[in-house]
Amino acid sequence: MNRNRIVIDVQDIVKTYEKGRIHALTGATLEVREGEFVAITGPSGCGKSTLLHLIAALDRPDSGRIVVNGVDLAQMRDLSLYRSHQVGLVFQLHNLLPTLSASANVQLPMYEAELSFWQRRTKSQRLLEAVGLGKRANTPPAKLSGGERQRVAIARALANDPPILLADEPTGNLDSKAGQMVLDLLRSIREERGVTLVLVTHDLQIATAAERIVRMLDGRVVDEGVTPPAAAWEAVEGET
Amino acid sequence: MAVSRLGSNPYFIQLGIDPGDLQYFQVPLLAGRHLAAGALNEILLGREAASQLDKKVGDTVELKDRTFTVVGIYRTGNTYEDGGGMLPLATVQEYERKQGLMTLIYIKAKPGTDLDALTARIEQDHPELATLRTLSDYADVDQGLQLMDAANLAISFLAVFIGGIGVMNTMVMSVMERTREFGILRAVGWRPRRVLQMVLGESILLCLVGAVIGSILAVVFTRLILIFPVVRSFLEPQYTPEVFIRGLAVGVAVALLGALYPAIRAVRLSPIQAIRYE
Repeated sequence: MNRNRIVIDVQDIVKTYEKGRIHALTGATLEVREGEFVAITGPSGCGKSTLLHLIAALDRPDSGRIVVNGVDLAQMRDLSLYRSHQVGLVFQLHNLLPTLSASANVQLPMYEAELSFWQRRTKSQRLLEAVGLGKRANTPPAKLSGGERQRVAIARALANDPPILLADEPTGNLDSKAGQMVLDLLRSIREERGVTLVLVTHDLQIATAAERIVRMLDGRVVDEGVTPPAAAWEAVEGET
Repeated sequence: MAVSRLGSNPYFIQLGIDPGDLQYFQVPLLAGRHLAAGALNEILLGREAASQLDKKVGDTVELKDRTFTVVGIYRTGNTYEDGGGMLPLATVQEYERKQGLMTLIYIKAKPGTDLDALTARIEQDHPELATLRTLSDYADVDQGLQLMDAANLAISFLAVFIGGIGVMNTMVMSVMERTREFGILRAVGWRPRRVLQMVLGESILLCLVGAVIGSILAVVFTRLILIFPVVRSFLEPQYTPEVFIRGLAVGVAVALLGALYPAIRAVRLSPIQAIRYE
């Protein structure tokens, strides 16, 4: 791992919706280095989730560039391959398929890796054990708690061993205890696997767990600073 | 030949035949005897007709304001014939007011006769006649049967069209409801082609199961309809492989059309648009 290598390079991204009526991003710029744990925070509607979705190639920007591991996403021929192998995405609302078991949900990204049936099963079992749900492999999402569903979603995000993990408000729908469990899990995964972790949150308590906090406002990055001391946080909260 | 109501059957077919000619047709009798020569008020009933009317040899039937005695019951294996009856030719000609007229003339050629030449000569000498080699050719010359065929085709087409709309609508709705699911699959890295293959595969499987169940129900319901005497004397279901294959092909085609459109539409959305779809 080279902590100086820039793995995510967002350059002046603009994104609008509803034929230009809604300006989600107005020239966002961001750099993330290999192995970093970055939290993106800001008030509701500042564009932090939109930025994450664009980095995950779930949508396309109106202008600007996003370069991941040296490849411009706009030039990439197969974005499905990028989504399945280069990034792992954890949504706020887990987005598990309700008709499938936990194990089957974890296996979904593995289909594009062309693993055999038994390889998929073995790997999904291992991932579920890593997130503490090895015994719930055959349980459907409806019978899991909110925190357990989010842990299954994390296991799914790791299915193809991606170097980058993107988490969009992963604790947003959880109580504090479950949220802390999920955050601890993400941190331990990052440390064990050396993945680059970008986490979007509106919760400053969660954000302080990161190595660096990026603050957004009105569709732009306004502060790319490091984790501030407690006194500086009071000033930040006063501004927003 | 005449058609009129008898009992609950509005389409009782009466075949007028000279009693002396019955020997040439070798009509197999199940009970009783053939028409007697010169007898005007006798009738032979087909097996289906006798069953519907609950008549046996010796009973009488009222037809065209006349009373006929059932002297025999036959079974030829032909639905029309077995659902009707045979009466003396002169009697049918009289009550139909078609004295001297005939619907069908059967010609038995000597062995070795050139049938093509015989047919050509008959048609040349009597241009008002149409020659048939087999009874099934009758449908080609009889306007009534041709109209019936056309009506049958139109009704079948309408039934398939209406049923097809229903199937297609169901497939469109069920696939559209899964737009969000397709977005999630795209978000975790599934290629659009894989999503479409999944939808196609599921649709084909659903079609096959539906076709099997539909075929079984079709057989059951056509058998049920035959409970009605009027239907039984007129219609005979044909359960040929071609019928089921055609039904299966139409069902699969319609369901695939219905499934493909929303699936293609869904994978053309960006993953995040599909996930947010409601």
